[in-house]
Amino acid sequence: MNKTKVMIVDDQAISRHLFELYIQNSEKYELSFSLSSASFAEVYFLKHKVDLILMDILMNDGSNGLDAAQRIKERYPDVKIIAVTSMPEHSWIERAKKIGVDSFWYKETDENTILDVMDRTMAGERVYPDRPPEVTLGLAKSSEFTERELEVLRIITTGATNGAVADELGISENTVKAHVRSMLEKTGYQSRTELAIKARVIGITIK
Amino acid sequence: MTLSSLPLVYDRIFGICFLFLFTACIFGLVRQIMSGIKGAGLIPFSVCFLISFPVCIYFDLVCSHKTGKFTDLLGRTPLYAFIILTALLFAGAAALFVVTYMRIKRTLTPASLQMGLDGMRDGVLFSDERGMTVLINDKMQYILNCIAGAHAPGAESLDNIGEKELINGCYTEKQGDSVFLILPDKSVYNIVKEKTKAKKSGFNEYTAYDVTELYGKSLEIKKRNDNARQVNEQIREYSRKMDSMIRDRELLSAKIRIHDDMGRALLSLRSYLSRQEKDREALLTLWRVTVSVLRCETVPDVSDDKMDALIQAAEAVDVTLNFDGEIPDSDTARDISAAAIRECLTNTVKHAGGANLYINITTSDDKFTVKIKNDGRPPDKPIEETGGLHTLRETVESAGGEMKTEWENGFELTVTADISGVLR
Repeated sequence: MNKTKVMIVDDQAISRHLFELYIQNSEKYELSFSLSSASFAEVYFLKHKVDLILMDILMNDGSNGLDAAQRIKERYPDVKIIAVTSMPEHSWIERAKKIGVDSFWYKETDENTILDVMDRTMAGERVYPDRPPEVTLGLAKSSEFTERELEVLRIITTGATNGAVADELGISENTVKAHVRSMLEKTGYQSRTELAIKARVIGITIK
Repeated sequence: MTLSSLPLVYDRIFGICFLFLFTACIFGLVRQIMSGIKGAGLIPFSVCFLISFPVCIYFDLVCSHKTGKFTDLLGRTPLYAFIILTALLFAGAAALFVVTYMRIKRTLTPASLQMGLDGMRDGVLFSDERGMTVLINDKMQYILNCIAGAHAPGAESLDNIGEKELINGCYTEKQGDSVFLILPDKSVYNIVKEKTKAKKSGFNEYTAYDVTELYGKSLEIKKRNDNARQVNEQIREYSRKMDSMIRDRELLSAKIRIHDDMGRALLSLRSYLSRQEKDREALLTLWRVTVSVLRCETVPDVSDDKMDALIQAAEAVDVTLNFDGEIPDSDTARDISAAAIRECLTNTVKHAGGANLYINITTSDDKFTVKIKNDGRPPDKPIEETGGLHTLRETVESAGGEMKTEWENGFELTVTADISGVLR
């Protein structure tokens, strides 16, 4: 039986090694490449066949696994991709679905094992969690924030002014301020700066 | 009874009264002329003057006992007529004064105009087409004294004030299209010049608007914005540092999971030893995984340099990267260079069948240039920028850079960008 050729893309050696060991101890999978950066993952496809990719999203070198997944899916749509992460960033699940990423796995909190997700993905199933893991931001749970609030928060964590946030989202500055006020009330934080820093630390929004 | 029958004492009294009336009429006339009243408006006081003057002379002559034809003529005036005339003259003069006063009060005279302008907070100066000052208020005079001294030429001192050297510690500040004049007493003025016309003559109107309060508030806003920019920059810096902290957190999470797995393995082993279950192979696999990963904890993560990853990727597809020059030490330079090399690597493998990529990097001032060629088959037609090349061009141009592709002497890609540019 031909084994499924797997490429691992994860900047953490320990995570990479764990995946490598799962694959090596499996009869169904064969390790093709194990990379620490998503920047050039698609280059390998020029001369090698890969059936499945375990793609971490947030990388050491600043590359983004979802960007790489998009490039790969555009050129090699038959390759299956499982996005893996431990960050609860809300927008990644939706973006992964839009790109066509086949499955999504949370390293820490997912009830399914990675092998189980790999099996189901290769069988044609799309395995996605219902929602990102719920985390606590101040006095609020992540599920208490609206989509728009999270969009505003994501941009604020980059240090953008309210005006810049308004321009990027196509809304008024007063609306941005209202969203920030709402989030401050929900979290109990004292300032916009505290909210931005805490959100970034927890990873609820990453831009 | 006639005027000449009056006793001398009455002659003296009437003489004084008419002398007073005569003086008052002169005063009234002069007042009217000064107020700009002309023509028919002057007739009433003139009539009073013309009547009171000869009567005044009559009484003066009578009191001085210098009689003659003039005194005889006026002396024949009936007394009752004289008294009526006197009453009318005095009443008329009084009424004229009241009317004149009311009229002057309602009329905009040069004096009232000057008084009004002097009371303004803002400076005002009118000059004719030759630049001669026609009208200036106290505030503007004060401003001119501050910026150019007591003998300031007036309008000329206000023209192009932003480019002039001012005295007494005065200076100007440009904000957008506006020029603000700041005086030693910290008052701030915005000088505006407009052309105006009056009675077919052209005038220049200079207004120095007192914007001291507004300027102070704009400085305060600027200071707050600067503070906000600083805070935002600190957040951006913190965000950049956050990435490495978050990766450490991910690493810790992975370790925790592995140790959890190890805990389960221990429990499973205990269960196996006590019950001799059939899942021996699965248990051994789990042990092997856990122990191997524990050993791996001492292995450092590989380099996070994009170029190392790129070289490895090139080797995997049998292409050697040959570098001439060094990529500048900036995120933009590294990201753009890596993206350009990746596209050329793809092109070399897919289309050109090459085995070597030659990358030349040069820097000058704040710009860097990357030129990339391969040793494969040259293109047989102009390069169509689709897919990756199109995306690369968007990336380069969004950072304010330029991209050029050549094909006639073999494929060559040239990218130039600012070292300190920002990728959007």
